[in-house]
Amino acid sequence: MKKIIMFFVTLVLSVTVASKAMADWEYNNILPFSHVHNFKDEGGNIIATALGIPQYSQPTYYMCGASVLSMTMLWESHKKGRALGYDITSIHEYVVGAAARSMPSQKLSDGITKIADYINATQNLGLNIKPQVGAANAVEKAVSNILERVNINHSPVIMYGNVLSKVAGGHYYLAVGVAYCKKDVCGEEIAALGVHDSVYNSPAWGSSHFNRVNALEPYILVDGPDLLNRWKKIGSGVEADKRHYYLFNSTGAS
Amino acid sequence: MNQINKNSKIIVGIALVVILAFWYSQYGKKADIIVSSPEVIKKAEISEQKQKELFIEAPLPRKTIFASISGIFKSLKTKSVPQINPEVKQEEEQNKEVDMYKKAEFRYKNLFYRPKSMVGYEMTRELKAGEAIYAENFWDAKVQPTWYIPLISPSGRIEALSIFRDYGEEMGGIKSGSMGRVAGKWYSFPPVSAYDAKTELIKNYPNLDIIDHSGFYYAEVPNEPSYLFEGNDGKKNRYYLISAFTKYVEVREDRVKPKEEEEKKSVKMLDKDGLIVLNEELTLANGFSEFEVAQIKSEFKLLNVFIKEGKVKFDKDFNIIFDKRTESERDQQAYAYFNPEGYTEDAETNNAPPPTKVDVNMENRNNNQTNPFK
Repeated sequence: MKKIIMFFVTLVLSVTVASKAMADWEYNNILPFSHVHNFKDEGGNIIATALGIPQYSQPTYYMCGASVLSMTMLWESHKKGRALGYDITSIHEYVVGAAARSMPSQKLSDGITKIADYINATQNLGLNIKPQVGAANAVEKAVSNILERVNINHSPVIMYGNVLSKVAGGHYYLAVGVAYCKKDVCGEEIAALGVHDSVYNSPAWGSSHFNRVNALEPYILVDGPDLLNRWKKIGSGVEADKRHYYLFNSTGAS
Repeated sequence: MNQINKNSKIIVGIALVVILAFWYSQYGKKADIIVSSPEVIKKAEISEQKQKELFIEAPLPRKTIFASISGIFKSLKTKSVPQINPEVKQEEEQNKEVDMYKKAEFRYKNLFYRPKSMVGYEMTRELKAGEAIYAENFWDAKVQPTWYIPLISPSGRIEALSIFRDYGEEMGGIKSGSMGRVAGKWYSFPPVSAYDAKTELIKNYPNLDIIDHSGFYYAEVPNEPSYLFEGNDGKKNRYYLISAFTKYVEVREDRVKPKEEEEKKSVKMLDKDGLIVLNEELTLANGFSEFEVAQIKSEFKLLNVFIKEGKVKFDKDFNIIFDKRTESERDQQAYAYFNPEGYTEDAETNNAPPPTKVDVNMENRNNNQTNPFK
């Protein structure tokens, strides 16, 4: 009789512990992870959105691409009901090979498809991701496009950016928050991005290194000249044809 | 024996009811991570209920925004022309600071101020007029002065700065700049005051003839806020930056901006037909990688088709003379750039092992976390 009672007591305790563990998907009570946060004006128009995606730091100086892929896949799998984490180094090796010291943009795009295919084949999650390159001449237009896009399928957007003031196209950021508000609604045009910067807290650089000092904290909104200095125009051998580029998930609602 | 069995069944029944009741009470509260089981994994599509649970909506009343903006712009617009009366001038200065505070409040309070907001910062105490920090750009005296308004976290720490520039009445008054994160530990005000900084400078350079500048000078140094002094040592003028955090004195010979990484320039020219010809050798010599040269070659191949078709034309400095390319054609051009021929396949990754799946440990998550996958 005692054994039966003990069994059920243990069972109840296990369920309690498991429930507690599930409730830990929180971010210091500031921004709850795992949710889509929409901010609307009175007319019901979404003027800002944030995706509750955890931020990961890159383990080496050349793994920003693998880091944004890791964060993206965690979120996409979470959207399908099961958050899957993949080691950043192994993602890098899987996408560009262990010897590579960068991840070119077309590899990054191919990598998303490759990992999504792998997850679908092994985990049967039914991920629906179709990466597509987007571009705009002006940052404001790009941000406006991103807000619209994020609210179609709630996928983050990868910015083809750069470390502050450094050479264009040298760094990937993951845009997880976006705010765009027209002048007639907010009194001034607001175009800002909240990005995850894998350089933040990265062990690849010392804490006083320029890259670390100027890395963006998770969910800090960036706009104006600061955004321009981190998202320089690229994508052409002719200056006049360069634009602000990003990679987004072009699938429909999910 | 039968009685014992009967009691056992009752206890088992009660226990099952308790478990089911507990389970039901927890259902739907935090179903973010589904503990893996084959049945759940097979359920590929997210349920309608869960889809709803994914969203948190925060309506922003238009009236509040409109009222804030109206107030800010109205006060800026109605600012009178420069007054001679010093009291009026002082009042104006105070109003200016209050206006900037209002603007900062609008941007970060009305738009994102929520207990669990996007930015995540709550204004827990009222910023008073005069708390804004006035700064001049050390590197470029022509740049308009900047006002920094601190944004304060719930713990009271300054987490970010809202930056505004004063372009003067003719140029539209105070305009929003950007928001910058405060590097390192810097609480509400720098620990070293302007007076202490000057004392430190005199201590280090007792014979220095310090040229005083009016106002509250700061230099926009990326790593650390510093006070700026100009001094003459009997031979020449130099600039002295005293860290507002450590009192470290850095001597500068001139207002020369630190060298930024220069953008690489491809070497190209137009032939007699107006087509773009890339000089691969010189482009490589300018620091471009072979892959980057392949990107440009791939793009120019398509761009030259557009030029031949009369859709776009460049002058000798590569300014666009006319452009009839469609958005789709611009995208094709970008695709050609990002996907150069010969670089789409990479044999070394064909046999690469699949990525390693690791447990997501959310319990250790905090603001200073690094990679939780390690």
